[in-house]
Amino acid sequence: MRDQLEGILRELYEVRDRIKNADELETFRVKFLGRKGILREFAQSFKDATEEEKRTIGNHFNKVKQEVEDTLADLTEKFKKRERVRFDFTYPGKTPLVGYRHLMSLELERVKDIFASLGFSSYGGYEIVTEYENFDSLNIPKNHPARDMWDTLWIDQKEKGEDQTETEKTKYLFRTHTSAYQVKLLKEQGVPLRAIIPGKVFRHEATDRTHDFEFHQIEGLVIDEGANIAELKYVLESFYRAYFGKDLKIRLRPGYFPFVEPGLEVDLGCIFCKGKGCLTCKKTGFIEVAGAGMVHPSVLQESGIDPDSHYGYAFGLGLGRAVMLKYGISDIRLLHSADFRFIEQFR
Amino acid sequence: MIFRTEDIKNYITAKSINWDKTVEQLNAKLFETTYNNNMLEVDVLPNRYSDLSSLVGFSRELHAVCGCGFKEPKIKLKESRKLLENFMSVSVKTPLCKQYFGRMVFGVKNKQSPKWLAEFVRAYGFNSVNLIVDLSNFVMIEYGAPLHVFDADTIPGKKIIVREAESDESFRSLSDKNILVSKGAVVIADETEVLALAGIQGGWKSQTTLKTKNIFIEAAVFDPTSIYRTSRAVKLQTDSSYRFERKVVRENAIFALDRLTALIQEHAGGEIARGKVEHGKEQLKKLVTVLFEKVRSYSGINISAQEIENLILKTGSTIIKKTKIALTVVPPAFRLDLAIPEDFIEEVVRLYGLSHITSVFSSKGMIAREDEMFALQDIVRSLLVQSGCFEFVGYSFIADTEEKILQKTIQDLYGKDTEAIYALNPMSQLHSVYRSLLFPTLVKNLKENAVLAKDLRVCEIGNIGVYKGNNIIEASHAAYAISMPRVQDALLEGKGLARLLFERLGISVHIKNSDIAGFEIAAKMYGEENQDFGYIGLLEKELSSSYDIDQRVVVAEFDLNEILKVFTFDVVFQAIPEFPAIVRDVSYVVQETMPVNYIEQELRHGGTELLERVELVDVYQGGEIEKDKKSITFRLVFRAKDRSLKDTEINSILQGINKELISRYNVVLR
Repeated sequence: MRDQLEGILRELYEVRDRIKNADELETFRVKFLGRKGILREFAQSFKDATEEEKRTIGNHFNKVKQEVEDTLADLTEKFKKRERVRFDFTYPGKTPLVGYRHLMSLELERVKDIFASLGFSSYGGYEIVTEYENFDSLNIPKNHPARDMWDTLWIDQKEKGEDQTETEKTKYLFRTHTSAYQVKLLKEQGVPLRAIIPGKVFRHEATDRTHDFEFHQIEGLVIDEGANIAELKYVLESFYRAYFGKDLKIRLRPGYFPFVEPGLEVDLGCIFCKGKGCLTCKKTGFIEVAGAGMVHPSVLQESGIDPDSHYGYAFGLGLGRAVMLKYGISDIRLLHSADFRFIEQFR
Repeated sequence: MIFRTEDIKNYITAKSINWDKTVEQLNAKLFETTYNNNMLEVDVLPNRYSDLSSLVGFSRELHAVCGCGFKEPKIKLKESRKLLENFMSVSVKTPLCKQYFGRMVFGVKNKQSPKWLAEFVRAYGFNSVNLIVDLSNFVMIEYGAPLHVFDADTIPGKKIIVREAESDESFRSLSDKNILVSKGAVVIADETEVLALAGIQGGWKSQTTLKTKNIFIEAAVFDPTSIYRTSRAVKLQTDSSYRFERKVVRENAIFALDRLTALIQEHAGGEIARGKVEHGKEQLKKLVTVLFEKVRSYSGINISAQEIENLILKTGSTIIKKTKIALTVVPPAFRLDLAIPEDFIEEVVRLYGLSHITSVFSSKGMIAREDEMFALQDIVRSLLVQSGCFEFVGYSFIADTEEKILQKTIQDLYGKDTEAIYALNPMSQLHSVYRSLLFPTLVKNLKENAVLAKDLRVCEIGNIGVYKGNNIIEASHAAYAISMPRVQDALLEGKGLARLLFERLGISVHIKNSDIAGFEIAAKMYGEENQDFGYIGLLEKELSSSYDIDQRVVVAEFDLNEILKVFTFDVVFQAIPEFPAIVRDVSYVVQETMPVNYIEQELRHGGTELLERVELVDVYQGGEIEKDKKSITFRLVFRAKDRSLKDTEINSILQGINKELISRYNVVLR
């Protein structure tokens, strides 16, 4: 009988290691502990044994039975743990609340970053400026035809400053160009200066697909030893290359703006046809992107800077035009869109 | 300015010109030019109008750019024995007339223009009137100087007076209109009345007709500013006024006068009076010193002194002195735009060819820094966007109808003396008032997206402006609007975002309930020194529905200019605490209407320096809580920097707090 018990134990060890899942475990349980199982059968045969045998074998039997039950408990625990969490990974899941930056604020940051890498600090300036800041300080006197180059959006000053005469009155307007901050900035920061002034500008112009009365401009202003036309070309070329991520060329042409001398028009090699000529560049291979030039001595003088010992360059470029070219947006008014479906496309 | 290429041929010596190539050169070295159907269109900008807007001037420049040779018209003039001064006298009584020249021709036979002349004037945008008028327009296109021909027999007293207009003078213009001349405008008059509005338009009475026999021809230079002002005041812009505004060259006026006189004699016959009217002195020519080194450092071109000299000579300038370092130059009479050294640098650079400039970073360079306002805007923007807001960049203008609704709101927010800023000449009624608040644009734009989502959050960072009394105030604002199906949710989210914003900025604020027009409930946010940082509130239902939004809208707006004054960019690192904290939740039952921050302040006050954090974790009403009461639970975190705290310490602190709360606010402990 003792041998019989040893055999049961051996069988237990043998079977135990081969059980792979909960089903096989159940078969194991029935085989050893079921109503007609091995242990029950052994106990039946054991009934007719002597008192002496019952005492010694009983002890042994209990140990074997305990071993079987422990094995069963261990394995039950093991297979229970293997039961996995269910989840369908093709579910869309729950979307966390996310916001999006507006295209223009994203692009403004890009522009600031590119110019920062060229050593340009950025400054804000005001949207409402005086007539002096926007015109007179920039060598654009009153009653001069050069003023007609900008269609101005004026501020209604009726009932304001009635104690002053028409000539004493400081006239205010919505800046027509970011250049309006040039003289003030030079007075505030002094020289050397390497700055961009990004911001909104306003024109009294009818709107259409390519014109808006309110748009973003980036002013550049550098007064530093060596800041010449060659560097102006380098800076604009580097900016546009970085912004469009393409190897682009800059072309300079003579131009006229009263606050620069020499005055320059800046063309960018067409980003689509690389100069071969297409619809965007009207078959010229170039797109007009900025006005520029060497800061006029009268502007330096106005800023309290000696034009005999300092010089530098300035430029003004339209951000909207660059953004439209970059993304293929055909209507400038979309740049003010508040439609989520527009905003969430850009990142 | 548009030129016929066949006309240009009369002023150059080259036999033929390849216009396509020439246009390329003009684009690179002059101004934007296009060539189509034998017409050349040149975009002449204001600084060069005085010399380029004529056949003679343009051809001269053409020669400088592409070396095609230039020839001026030959003027042959035969004067008779009749002395002009016996037939006409001119007195100039205003300094606004800089120069005045005149000639007389007797016994002309005016007639219709020959075909070539009629076609010429039409090509340049004039109607063909009669031979004499058409010839004067021909000469204006040739020399760029406007001329006027008077029928001498219509001028009684044989006396012309150039003077400033008195008030309430009027005259009948050539286009048969009665024009009220503004005081101070320059007029050409006889002894009794105004004959012509100087530099702008001639008069009906003294015009030349087919019957005209004796004529007086005027060429002049008027003050550009005066012409600019008058032409706008009387709303009359003519080819002549356009030219005078952009300056007319004295020498061109003199040549043009003789040229027209000669042409009239040639085509209409007549005797030319001996002598001419001449008023105004020749302006002294200014000497300009051009430093070779300056040309090089400005342009970045390594150009020789000889080359600089050659290019300056191409402009028609005279070099009167040459040293190793500089040239002393006299600009030609016809180039009024050449006055300072930089003007000559421009000439050298463009004629040399801007395409030869290689791009080089040639200055020392600087380290970029960011504007503090931009940096603050970036921090606020990131936080709002991370919190789920869609960012807008809206127009800076709203409709005047919107402004009328907001009038009381801005006065409640910014003070009674506040008014909106109106555009004097708005593009449209829809965009006629500068924004005084950001939220209206945000709310308006919420509507556009209301079909796409129910839980809407939008934000914008932009400038606003108002009149405070007589002063214009412009400031940078940040605002957000939140709209959710449940009002309480929107209020909680709105307030939570404001709290988070100030926490991130490291600025402490206190909140004060305020009545703000347009808001059902609202509160203002103040800094430690009572700075007005902004407001938060729930828009009145009427206001949000006026924007077509069914859901209620919570808005908050912040004055970044005020915030920037106290904001510090420096971060002070705090060491991570070494000793454990003791956390206790405390609950009190209070009146429903009692603001939770009364209790919070008491907790902070009584919590000593050991109290690290106070957090409202639950507000509960209903159940076993009496009606009109609420149960509020705070989580208190206590910690000491130098040791582990004991429970007994905290118990005694809490006992003290509770005693105070019971006596001051009659709270019930739970």
